[in-house]
Amino acid sequence: MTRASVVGVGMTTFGVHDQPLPELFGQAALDAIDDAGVMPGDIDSFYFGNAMGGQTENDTHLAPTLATEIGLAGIEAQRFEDACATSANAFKNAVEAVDAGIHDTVLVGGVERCTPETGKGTGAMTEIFASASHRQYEQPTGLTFPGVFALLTKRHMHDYGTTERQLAHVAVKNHYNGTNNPRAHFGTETTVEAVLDSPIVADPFHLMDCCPFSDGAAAVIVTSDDVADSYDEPVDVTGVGQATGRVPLGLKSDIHATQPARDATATAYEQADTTAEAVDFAEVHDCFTGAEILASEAIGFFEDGDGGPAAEAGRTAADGDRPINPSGGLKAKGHPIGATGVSQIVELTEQLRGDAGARQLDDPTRGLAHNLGGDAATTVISVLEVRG
Amino acid sequence: MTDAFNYDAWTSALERGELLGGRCQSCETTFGTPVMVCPDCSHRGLAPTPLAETGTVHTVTRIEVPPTGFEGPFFVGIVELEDARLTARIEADDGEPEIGDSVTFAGGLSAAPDGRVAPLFRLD
Repeated sequence: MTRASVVGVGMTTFGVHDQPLPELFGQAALDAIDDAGVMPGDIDSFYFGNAMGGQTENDTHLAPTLATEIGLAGIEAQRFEDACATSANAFKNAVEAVDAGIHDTVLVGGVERCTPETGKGTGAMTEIFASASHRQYEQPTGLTFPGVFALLTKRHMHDYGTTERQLAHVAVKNHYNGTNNPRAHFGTETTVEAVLDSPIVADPFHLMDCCPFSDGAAAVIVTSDDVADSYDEPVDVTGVGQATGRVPLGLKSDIHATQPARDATATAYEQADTTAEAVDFAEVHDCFTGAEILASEAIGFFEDGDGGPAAEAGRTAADGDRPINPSGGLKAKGHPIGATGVSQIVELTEQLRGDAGARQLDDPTRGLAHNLGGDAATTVISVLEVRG
Repeated sequence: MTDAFNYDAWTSALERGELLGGRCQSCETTFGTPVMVCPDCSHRGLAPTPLAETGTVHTVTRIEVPPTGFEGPFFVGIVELEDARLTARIEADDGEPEIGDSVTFAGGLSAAPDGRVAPLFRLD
């Protein structure tokens, strides 16, 4: 059943941007407003995500500042922070509010800058990203976020025989997809050998297994099912699930299951009255190549342990039977933390409208977005469909 | 009512070279770090209990690009001590720690720039 509809999308290129956050977000938001053709006076509320502006740019209390920048000061506005799942959680709350009849039309979006444009280099940004691991029981070890996902992936490799070469295939596929995405941070192809020859960040991850630090913004207009018919190209949101898991890692029972993703997927499929088999493609949170393998199993595209061989066999390529990350994913499209979740909704919407240009899949009718935060202890799963 | 088993108790013990976990007084599960409510049965109040000082590597990574203030490379892993797990530094005189290897508790390590302490294990 339709819970809400996406009627407009906007997104900046992901990469390096020198504009301040309000102006960067303003580009994406105004594009979404124009794409929908919505009158500013019809927007009831603003659901906004930014994960780290306080740490990276000494910039907080952004919701009213951004609303002012785009002429929406005066309406309700709220900011969400759930590490890398920040703007998917803003989207979830927006869908729930519209579904509950609280609002008819809302703006949802996120913005973040993570490149040296912030004045922070790799070491400082690595420290800031590490703040999403447990302050008392993990940060003192020097654990980084590549390290967190390395720990999950190493255990998956041990239990199922997943190989570094299979991980590299994820990077190669996503870089290729990125060449077809004019908004992608990386628009160049790579090879398995180039990935395996790049320096180690946290084993098994080489530099080329890791998504980049990116700047960017994404925004969507969400309306109620009733209001959606007055817009040109609505895409329906039929399920949104969210779940959390235990932090720190030592309290999790099965670290590579990414259990919150499985729980959120079950919720989203139940709401949408669908199954993994009936989902045509997915945008998943490939912050590291191993994370895409774990996600591809958690959302039910593959049996546990089959994610690595499936990636190597090309099954997740745009022309494979289970396409994953046609946008290029975080790996090639880029990962401006607070914008990533909504950028996945932008990709799903464009694919389902048939507007994805050179990266358009073959007539998909149902897509899934998987956006995780921290060590996967927050995960939001959204199912979007062509309006019936 | 004994003193709460909390971060201060856990980290003070670590600074003395002792490794304490929390044991649920209801379901008797042991956890590697303190938590106010048992994650398994929702009982309030875990009691401090000495953890086994030898165990195995559940998973491990060699961090080559550390956060600001840390000197790399180094190994971080999750160690399994009977039924409890915790995140720790792992040191090896020779070679690299691998999953399933035996490790022994070697005290608290103050490697963080603010001096906060982390459990240290050594490869047997």
